[in-house]
Amino acid sequence: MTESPTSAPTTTRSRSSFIIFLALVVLTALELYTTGLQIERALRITALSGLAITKGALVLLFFMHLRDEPRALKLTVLVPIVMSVALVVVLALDTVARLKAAP
Amino acid sequence: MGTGDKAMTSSSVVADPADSVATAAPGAGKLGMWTFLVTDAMGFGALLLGYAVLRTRAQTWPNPMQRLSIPLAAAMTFTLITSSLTVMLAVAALRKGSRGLASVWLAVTVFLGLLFVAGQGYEYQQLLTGPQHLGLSTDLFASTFYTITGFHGLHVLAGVIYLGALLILTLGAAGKTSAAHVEVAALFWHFVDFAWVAIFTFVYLLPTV
Repeated sequence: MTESPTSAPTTTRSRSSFIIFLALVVLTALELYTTGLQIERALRITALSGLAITKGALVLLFFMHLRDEPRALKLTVLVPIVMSVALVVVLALDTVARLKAAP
Repeated sequence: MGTGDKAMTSSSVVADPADSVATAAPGAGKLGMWTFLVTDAMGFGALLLGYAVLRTRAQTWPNPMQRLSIPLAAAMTFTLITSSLTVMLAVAALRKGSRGLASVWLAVTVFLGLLFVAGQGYEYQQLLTGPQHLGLSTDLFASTFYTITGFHGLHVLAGVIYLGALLILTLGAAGKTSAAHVEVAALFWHFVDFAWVAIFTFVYLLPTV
């Protein structure tokens, strides 16, 4: 037996890493393509944000292997993310309210 | 594979907890790195949130695509994504016991990291000495741009030093690194990539008009 005991999962991981790498390259190309599209600003911002969130999720789940980690570690990472999103929403609402109230 | 091989396989996996797959309980190094990354993400989040608030409340905001070089930033993005792949290949090589191949992939990762830092240096030089003369205190856009990208650039530099040190240890005769050590460093490196994904989109690509 010449193969190391960990080579089977390692090979699978390497293969999935290549796929994720290609997906990230394609998504980046899509982002650049989206910036050149003659579409509504709100639609472009939504598309770019969606692409960025997808890219971030791919890095977090597959490159950083968060999907394979125990639940406790997942929660350690996800709770601050949820809290940050809540903070963003509150601040965004505050900004919109202040802009509307401004003379 | 005979019975003896099976017995050897299972005992090898148990005997080498450092190389256990991620479904097992994370080691102290990994847990420590994740905790650090969560707090570090708060720093990046605060900077990006501050940028968003300032940009929204400003009377006018320059179009980043007219001030910044998008092809250069795209090339830097590609460099960082590729380096995330090469650091994973280094971990995979170490798991297979191939120290030589792991050294090659680590060296490539360090080189790509340095390439990113060089690209950022070139970008800053072009902005500072080009026709725009965009200094740190030129306007709000410049201040936020240099702060966010500078903070990220320091992370890349720290990652290069970290991986460079592991490369030296891997090349050393004693071979003092394991896949687990490099995996913890790779976590930091992927996080640098993760942060750049947000910066590239929200600072470089989001339109103003």
